[in-house]
Amino acid sequence: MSIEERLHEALHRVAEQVNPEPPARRSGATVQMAEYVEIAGLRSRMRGLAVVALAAVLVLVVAGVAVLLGRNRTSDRVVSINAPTIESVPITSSSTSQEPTTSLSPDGPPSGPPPPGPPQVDLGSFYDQDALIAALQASGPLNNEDTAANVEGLASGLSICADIMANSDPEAGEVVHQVGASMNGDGGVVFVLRHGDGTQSVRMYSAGDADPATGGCRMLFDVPFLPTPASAPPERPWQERVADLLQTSRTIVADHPGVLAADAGGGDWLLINTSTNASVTAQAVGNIIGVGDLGDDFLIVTNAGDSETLVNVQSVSLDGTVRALGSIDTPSYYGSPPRAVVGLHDNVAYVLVQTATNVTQSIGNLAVVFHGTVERRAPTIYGALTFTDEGHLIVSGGNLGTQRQISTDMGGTWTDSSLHANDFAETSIVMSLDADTELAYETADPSRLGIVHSDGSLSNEFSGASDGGGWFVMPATDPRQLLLVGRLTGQSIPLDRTTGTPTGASGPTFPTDGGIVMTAWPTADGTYQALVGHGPHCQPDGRNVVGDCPSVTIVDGSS
Amino acid sequence: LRRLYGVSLLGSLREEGVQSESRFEAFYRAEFANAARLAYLLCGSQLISDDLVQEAFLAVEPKFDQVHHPAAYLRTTLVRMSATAHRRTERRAGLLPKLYEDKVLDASTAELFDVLGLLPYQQRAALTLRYWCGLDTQEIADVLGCRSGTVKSSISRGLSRLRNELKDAG
Repeated sequence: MSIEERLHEALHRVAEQVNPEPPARRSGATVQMAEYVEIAGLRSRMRGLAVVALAAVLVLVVAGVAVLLGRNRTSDRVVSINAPTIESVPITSSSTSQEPTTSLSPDGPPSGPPPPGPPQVDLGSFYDQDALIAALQASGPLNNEDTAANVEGLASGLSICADIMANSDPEAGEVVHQVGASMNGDGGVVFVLRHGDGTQSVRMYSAGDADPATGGCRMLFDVPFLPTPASAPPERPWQERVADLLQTSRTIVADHPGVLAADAGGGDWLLINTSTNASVTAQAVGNIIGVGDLGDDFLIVTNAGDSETLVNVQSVSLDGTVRALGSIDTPSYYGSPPRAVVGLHDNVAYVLVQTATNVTQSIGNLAVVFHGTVERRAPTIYGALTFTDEGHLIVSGGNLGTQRQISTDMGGTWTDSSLHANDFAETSIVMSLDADTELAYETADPSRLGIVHSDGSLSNEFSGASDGGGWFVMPATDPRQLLLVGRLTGQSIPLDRTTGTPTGASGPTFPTDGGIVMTAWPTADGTYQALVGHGPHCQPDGRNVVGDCPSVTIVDGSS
Repeated sequence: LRRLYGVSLLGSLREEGVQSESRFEAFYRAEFANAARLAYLLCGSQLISDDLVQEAFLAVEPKFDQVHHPAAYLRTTLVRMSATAHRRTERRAGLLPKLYEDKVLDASTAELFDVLGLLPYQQRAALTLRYWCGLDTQEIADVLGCRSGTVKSSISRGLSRLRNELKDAG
């Protein structure tokens, strides 16, 4: 049987096991309510609640916000719905009746023409809640709790909204911020919810529709209720402790896009996700040589205490629970593996462990973590992991930072794909772009920087880029971009994430004050921070960003 | 196999002069099962697919009277919503249970679905749309919002991966 036939048969066999009965749609009393659209994927929690009560609450919440904001926009609408009363039945609306939103007011329709709504700002289209939170965070801290609390009295005691407002539903989270917003032309309100583990999510209640074809929600936010950068200093509860640890600890492991592991002594490590400000102390986990971001959890790679060749892969949740995922047995070369890099792509976590550093080719031992297990793949060089749109995996680096190897089968086999610019004596890789191109600089002259192609040609050579300490890339607050950062100058150049070409001019980002930028990350509030080291022997040392620096400080960067 | 999922009921219903509300009711009942099956094959979780199907119908209803082929519109909406759901969960995927594990599968099917669950979403969706929905390359490209060349390479890579992994396992 061919693979096509086998797949066809398997798909049908599994589909036959899905025998859904469409939930009955009951014709109930017709009520007036605002159709709601929930972005946060929290719909399941809505089940079990009286939908009619929810509808009424939404009317009150939106109306209350409208009253609070003094907004009364004609683009809002009220729709008639048949309110279903059976669990998991979708709230459905008949086609829109274009009535003015003023009927949402609990005090009844006001007389006279509606006043103009508040000024709004277009923050673009959003496809998931993470992007929406990031956009709001980029505008400033999400902390107008007082405003959010004002709507508490408008929620019915039967609704989940009331639980959110009263913070009596810990799973739903606590409302920490609200902002009036319209989506694709119709009004509503966005709530930012903070959960017990420090993570945030959003819910939007709106009469507007997401675009079903693209899934995008184009949103306009009411300016007075957008957070403002000046309203409060950024809150980074982990920063003080890291600053303290930097006085004594010699090891901080970092990974993009902003995960730090700081050695707290005694086998304990402080793990920080700088993009969410979530942190946890992992106790007695051993010596961390690599750390990665698994969303609500951290993935850590540690030396096994009783073996020089074994490394353990573990996850750490925000409540401190450590879960062993598996081990990677590496060849013995020169003692315990010194470092590991973690990459995540399409359901799979990749762990690349370095096991030799002073031979011609730096050895990397690759394993994939999936379904909670660890599976070894073929060895390769050690370096940065790049996942291309074509599904290729590229490792860039090697002992001299000039080598590349590529795999088309998730690390099962590797071929050399090193690129060398004809104009350069030696080519140092900054970042691989795809199988045939990379962003690189002349090793002896880092001011010569451009896109190197497989035929040895150099294109898009940067003009005016100069930094004697070399370059590294970091995520930008705009997900379409990366920042190319000069280690000595602290200057950065925004790059297109796909093509590697500059999208703006070079500008000062990190004050180095004679030091060197060891690593940097975007913060939860939409700015940047870096670790800057000072001292004659201060050089970036792979995953341990403190290295031999006698002094390392956290500096705030400009956006 | 062709058009297993994609039959438009709208034309016949219009001829019968059925009102909008009841037409959508009929559409909902007629399409629910196939939509639920497609959602499950795409995301591998009964819990997530149940939500996705409800969300998709909710998104289609306001446009129901305007779209020419509501079933196709529903399918496209569902596939793209599944992609969004996939993006939301993939960062935790290293710790997630196996896809499709809540169904009782024979060893051969389970083995194939284990590998299917490893594929990038676009490859998995392209294979499902081809071998379960019976769509041609251009139709799959329209649903996924990509070029037909991308669909061809997605299907080719997906099949190649299945072939290699199953050969290794077998």
